[in-house]
Amino acid sequence: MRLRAREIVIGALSLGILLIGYLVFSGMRGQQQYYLHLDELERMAAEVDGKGVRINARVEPGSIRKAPQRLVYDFAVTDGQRRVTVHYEGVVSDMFKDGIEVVVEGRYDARRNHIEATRLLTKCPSKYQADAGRP
Amino acid sequence: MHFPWIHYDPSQYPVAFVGTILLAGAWLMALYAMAASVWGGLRRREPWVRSGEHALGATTLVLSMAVFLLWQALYTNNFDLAYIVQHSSSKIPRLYALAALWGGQEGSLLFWVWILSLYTALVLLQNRHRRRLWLPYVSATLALVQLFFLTTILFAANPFTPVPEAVGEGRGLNPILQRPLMAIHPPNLYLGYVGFTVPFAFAVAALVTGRMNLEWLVAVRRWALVPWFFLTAGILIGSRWAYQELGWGGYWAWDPVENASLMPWLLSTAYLHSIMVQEKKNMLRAWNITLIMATFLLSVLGTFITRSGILSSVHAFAVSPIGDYFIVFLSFILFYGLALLYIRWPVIRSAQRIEAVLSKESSFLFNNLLLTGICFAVLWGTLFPLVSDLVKGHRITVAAPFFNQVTAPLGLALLILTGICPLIAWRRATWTNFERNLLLPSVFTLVAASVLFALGLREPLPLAFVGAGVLVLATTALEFYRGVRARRRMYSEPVWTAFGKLFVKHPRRYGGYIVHLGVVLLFFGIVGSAFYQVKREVFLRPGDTAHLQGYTLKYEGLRLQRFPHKDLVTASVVLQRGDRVVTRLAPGREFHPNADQPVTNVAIYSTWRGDVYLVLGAWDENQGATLEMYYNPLVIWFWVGGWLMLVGGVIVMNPRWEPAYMLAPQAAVARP
Repeated sequence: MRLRAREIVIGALSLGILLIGYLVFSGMRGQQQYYLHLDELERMAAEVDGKGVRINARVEPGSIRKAPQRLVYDFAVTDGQRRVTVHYEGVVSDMFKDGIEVVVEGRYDARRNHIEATRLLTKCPSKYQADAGRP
Repeated sequence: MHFPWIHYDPSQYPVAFVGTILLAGAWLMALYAMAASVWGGLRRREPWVRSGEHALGATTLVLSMAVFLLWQALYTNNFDLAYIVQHSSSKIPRLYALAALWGGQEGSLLFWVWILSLYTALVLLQNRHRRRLWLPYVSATLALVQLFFLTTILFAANPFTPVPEAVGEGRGLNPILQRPLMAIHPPNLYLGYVGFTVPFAFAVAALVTGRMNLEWLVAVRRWALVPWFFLTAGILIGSRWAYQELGWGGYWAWDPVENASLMPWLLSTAYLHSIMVQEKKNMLRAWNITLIMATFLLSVLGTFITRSGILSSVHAFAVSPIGDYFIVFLSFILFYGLALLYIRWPVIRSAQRIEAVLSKESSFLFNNLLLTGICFAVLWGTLFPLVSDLVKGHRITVAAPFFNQVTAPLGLALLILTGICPLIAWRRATWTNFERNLLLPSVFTLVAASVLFALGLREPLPLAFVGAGVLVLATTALEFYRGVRARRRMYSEPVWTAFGKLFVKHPRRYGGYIVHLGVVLLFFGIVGSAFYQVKREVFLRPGDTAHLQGYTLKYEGLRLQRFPHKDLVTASVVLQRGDRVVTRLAPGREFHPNADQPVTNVAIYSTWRGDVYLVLGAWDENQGATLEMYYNPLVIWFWVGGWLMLVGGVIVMNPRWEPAYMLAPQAAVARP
């Protein structure tokens, strides 16, 4: 009788572990973003077309256009050789300006070489340790 | 004198030289302390053990001198040191110049090892005359961890490195970090992270000596509670800072740095629950040891993630030289810990077994499963970029939706368990008893859920969370009611006296319930702000009005103020409810002369129902302004719940219960 209780509990725990594992790995689907430099993006363009990407590059000086009276931004990011256009709606960080390093998250359109951004993060390496932007 | 590893003229950079010498001295003493403690422990030579402890005391003293030297250099703007040039300036307030000690990588590693040395001194003082069997290995482990951090500091991240060429001014501290909350957030987190070294050291001592009794449990429980408390406080303060300063309307973003602090919190919470099973039933011994070692590993990993920049960069390992040191240390601890566990398995394996499916023991097992499961999911999501980089050659990150999707159901299950667990007896609960206990709380839950459903709360997940929260509230209230009633019967005390006495006589039990109440309120805050946040962006000219959740916002115009250290642009907004003026809000932006970006000043109007949260987006030359408006329902309960958890934590730490155990320190089996 004692052995039975132990077996039931162990069985239930194993089932729980399986469920958590399933939850984690099914959660991965659709939530993945490729974290790339622009050269990698160029190389993998066909593979990541229409998928979520997160890229790290600089804002091309002079490329920022803001819609009047609205928080809608169009700009380009560059690594000196390659260039991708970005569209973003929402509040941008105080640091957002020409030449600054940014992380852009969004869906990549390979045909237009364009990203519809859902998130725009700015980095300021000179004064920031890795943790400064967020707690 | 010539020092082969000092490449500058000591007389030209006296602070750099003295600081480095102090660190080198601490390094040597930690090395000696480790060797003397191990030798004294293995050979049973008490004088060697004492000598090791004295060396650790000296390490504390020398490290304190190094920290005060760096503080003095920060205070007086000694720009001979590269660290001070990079993280401070003569223009920032002096108090924040002192906070620059933990503003950068090198300083914060020194801060880490300094706190560890203070904890070490405290442990040694506390155990001068007791727990002598474990002490040599506790000392040796603490010395080993100090040694690792000192090695990293000396060879890869020395805050006492002089600047290559003279500069007259520092680069300053980011203005958004010059806030009171940001000055106290890192020390709290560090007191948490570092504190887990102590229970880890006791775990190692238990494994090496093969002795684990109730006295050991007492020592480890207390030393796990202290860092748990500080970690909780640190996470809460960090969330509050993010909410007030960053201007994105939220307090938690599943950022790797945030996750780094959540993981040890989850595991230590699991640990604080599961040691109760060991205490009452002498079960789960090996599991508890594993859990506390994993908590320590995740604390070190958290420090590493926070301080190396490894996850915020596209190319992982090239970021910081400290990476290699941490990887070697983490692997060593992992290997060493697993080896000790393997060798001692026959000794620490629990003799007791689960006797019934329905028992408090098994409910604690499920509590542990859920907490470690959430921790695993967070760890997996956080480290996935590194894993995919190693496996596929490019980095794949998972975004916030992944974490929400995975943690929501597990968090819900955990909340339900929190409501049910107090109703189940130890050892063997009967179903009839359980059903009878559960009846009243379930009725409350169903009534509350139906009322909310009728009021229009229709989404299943928020409804489930609120229902589970009500279940916890009801069972907790029932427990308090029973406790008070029992006391009144026995001692015929007035209600409030009886209520107060519950905490005094049973601090752990009722303090624990207070923590649970805090968790429920915290969940209410999360549900409100996560599921029902209203976000709107408007462009307003002076005199225009906007509407938000029953409030009317009347925009009056912009104002520019000039201060010595900053310029401030604020929008003047009158917040009305109907015709009644509630308050004036002034969202704005600060411009600092020596910072290259402005700082957002969020305006928040907080009520128990929800927060009006305004961010000044942009403006034009005619005083037209773009406002980002948020309504965050119930978010205040997130903070109230958090504070309540801390209050519960203090009650739980009440040392009252300890003496009873100390009378029979070597008892190996639990009380009946």
